[in-house]
Amino acid sequence: MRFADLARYRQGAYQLLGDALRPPESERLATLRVVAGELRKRPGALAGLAVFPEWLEFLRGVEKLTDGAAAGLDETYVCLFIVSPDGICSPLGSQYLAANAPASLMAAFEREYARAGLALSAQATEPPDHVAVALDFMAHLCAAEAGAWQRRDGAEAASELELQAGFLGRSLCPWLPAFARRVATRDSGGFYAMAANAAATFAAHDLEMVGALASRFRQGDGR
Amino acid sequence: MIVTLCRDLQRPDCGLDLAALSGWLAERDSEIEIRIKAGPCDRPERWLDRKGARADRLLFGLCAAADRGELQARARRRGFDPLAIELINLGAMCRLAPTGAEATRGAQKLLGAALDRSRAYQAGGPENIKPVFDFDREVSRRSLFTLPPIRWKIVPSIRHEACAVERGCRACATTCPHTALGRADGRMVLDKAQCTGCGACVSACPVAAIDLPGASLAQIEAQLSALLAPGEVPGSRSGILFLCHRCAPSLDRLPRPGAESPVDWLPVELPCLGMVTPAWILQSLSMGAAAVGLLAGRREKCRFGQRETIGERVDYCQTVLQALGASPDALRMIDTIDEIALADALRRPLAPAALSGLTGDAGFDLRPDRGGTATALLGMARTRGGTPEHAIEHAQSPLGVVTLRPGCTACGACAAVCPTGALAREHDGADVALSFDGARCTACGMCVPVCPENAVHVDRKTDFGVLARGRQTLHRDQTVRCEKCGDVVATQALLERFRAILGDDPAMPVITRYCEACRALPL
Repeated sequence: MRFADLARYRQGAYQLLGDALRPPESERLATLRVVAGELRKRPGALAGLAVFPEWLEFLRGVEKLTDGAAAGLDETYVCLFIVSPDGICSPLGSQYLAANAPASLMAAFEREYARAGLALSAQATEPPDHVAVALDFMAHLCAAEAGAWQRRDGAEAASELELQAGFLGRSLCPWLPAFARRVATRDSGGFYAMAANAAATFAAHDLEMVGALASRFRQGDGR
Repeated sequence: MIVTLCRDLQRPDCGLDLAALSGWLAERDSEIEIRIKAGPCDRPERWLDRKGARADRLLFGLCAAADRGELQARARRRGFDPLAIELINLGAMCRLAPTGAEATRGAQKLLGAALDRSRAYQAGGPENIKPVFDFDREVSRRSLFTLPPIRWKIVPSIRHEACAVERGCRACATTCPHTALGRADGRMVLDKAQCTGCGACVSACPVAAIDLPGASLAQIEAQLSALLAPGEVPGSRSGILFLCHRCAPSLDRLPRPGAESPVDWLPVELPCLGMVTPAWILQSLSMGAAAVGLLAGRREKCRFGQRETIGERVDYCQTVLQALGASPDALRMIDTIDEIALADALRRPLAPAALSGLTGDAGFDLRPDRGGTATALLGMARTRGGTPEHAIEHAQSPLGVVTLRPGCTACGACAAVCPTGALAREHDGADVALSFDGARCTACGMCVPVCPENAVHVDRKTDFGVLARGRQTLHRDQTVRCEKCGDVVATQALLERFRAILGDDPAMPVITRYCEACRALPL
């Protein structure tokens, strides 16, 4: 298995998870179903990962979304993530990590993005600490890592791995499990409970792997 | 659950009656699906078909040891939880049993125990997974950008809500042979990079706060209970043979013994023999095992470096057996995997004293804080004709004895940190009592440094007299009540101690007459 392939598959996984936690527009859901089906049939590098059983379960769940069920997701999405009482299922990291000072946490997210050379577009509808934005950012970092491997630039790839490990460890993994638990209590057995749980599990497993890889590269053993 | 049995187990060299075995399984549990498949046992992953991958648990009865890692990797790729698969080497069982009929009986026990172990399995999370990259192999220029094969090692995780580290417990950290556990930010944390997944910390934790999916205490308790359950398979002369996954294939090389074998050895596979504590050994003997064996293999092949500790534990248990008037031969440490020497060690006749009398009536309870070892010891002592008077001092004694020197004020600092509840402070009318239950003491020593009067002393020893007496009051004192609200101020001894320190300090009358809350109020 090539490093570049693994990074590309991980990029795809993060994109899929991010899209699953965005508003359920019909075109987006149709694309999700097709992509999930393809990824299940051709799991590629993801099949060797420890998270694969849970990942496969998520893909099966996305594929099972019927048109009828998808139609009801609008209301669920709004109830869970937009008008949720007391922000109990908030998809924003600041609600979990710094509920009293959300602005400082949003700034911290923006600093993480800036470190990778990105800034949130003025047209962006979601704040920087939104779960879907954070998952998209991970997809971007994976794409950058894949590019570095393809250019045979090991040092750049190692630096991208460090960025991923840092972002996962500091900004994403500390609150995703709490987010997933809260969604599970409000949407038990539902699509968003499954998607939030898949995102939390995938990110936690990914942190283990990326952290271990980054550490090996840091020691110089993997170069 | 699906149970898949290898058809080769019917061959004359194994001699299992698979029809009888299937019938017994179906009768034991009507919800399991039993399959008998032909196929090489070194590739059980071929049996992971689509239907199997949808079952919640899989159990394979094989005719030879299988590559556990390869099977788990294949299971993962099929979307199956790799730790929800139990592999039972029934072929090895056949080589340990003297006849085909006895092998079938042993296979029933092993399968029944594996079913119970499998049911006790609880899935872990990402915290139980450690990726291992095989970077050390030689690489070509082309392979520099190729990800080496990843292996996923199972490591323990700590349930922080149950962990006693805040009270000063370091049992797991001191037991870990790889210094993978340590305290950080007030919590016990595991350094995955150092951890080898040997599981020594799991059996050392006094409050069972460490989980190792696939080899949890609950799973091992379930397995041992089923293996030694009375009546399930009559005519038993069962012996428990603990061995690590690495040594397991050595049983495949054993030739079938003659009918003179003294014990039906039942293998129990673990990540490392370092998990096996004296509690496991003594409880197995108490529950009716005719013998217990520990297959430690060759020193140079041991990955975890636990052999000295295992040897000391065996020595302790043999000393206990001698104290009970039983033959220490009922416990065997086997440090060879040479087939002839191994066969000789397993088939050596048991001394007559080891074959009778060691049957207690308690169930398995491997948690150190629940007193299972003491119950086993007392049960064995009863069946051997009474409780011996003497105590056994030994570095591997799982039990300790707390004594108090003069000066105890019954302040309760020792009881507050005791992780197992061996020490307890209780109010009894006008008195306060500090009591001690030897069955729960693990000799961790946490009570010693917290005593402000330096009055607590702990000996690592197994004292049958202390165990037989149960919970005993070590110190009793009267309490002084607040003159204003009636709440407890302190014990008499503690106030005497204050007087000795403070002398004629003008604060003394207030301190001795009023409780902490009332001292702050205007009198």
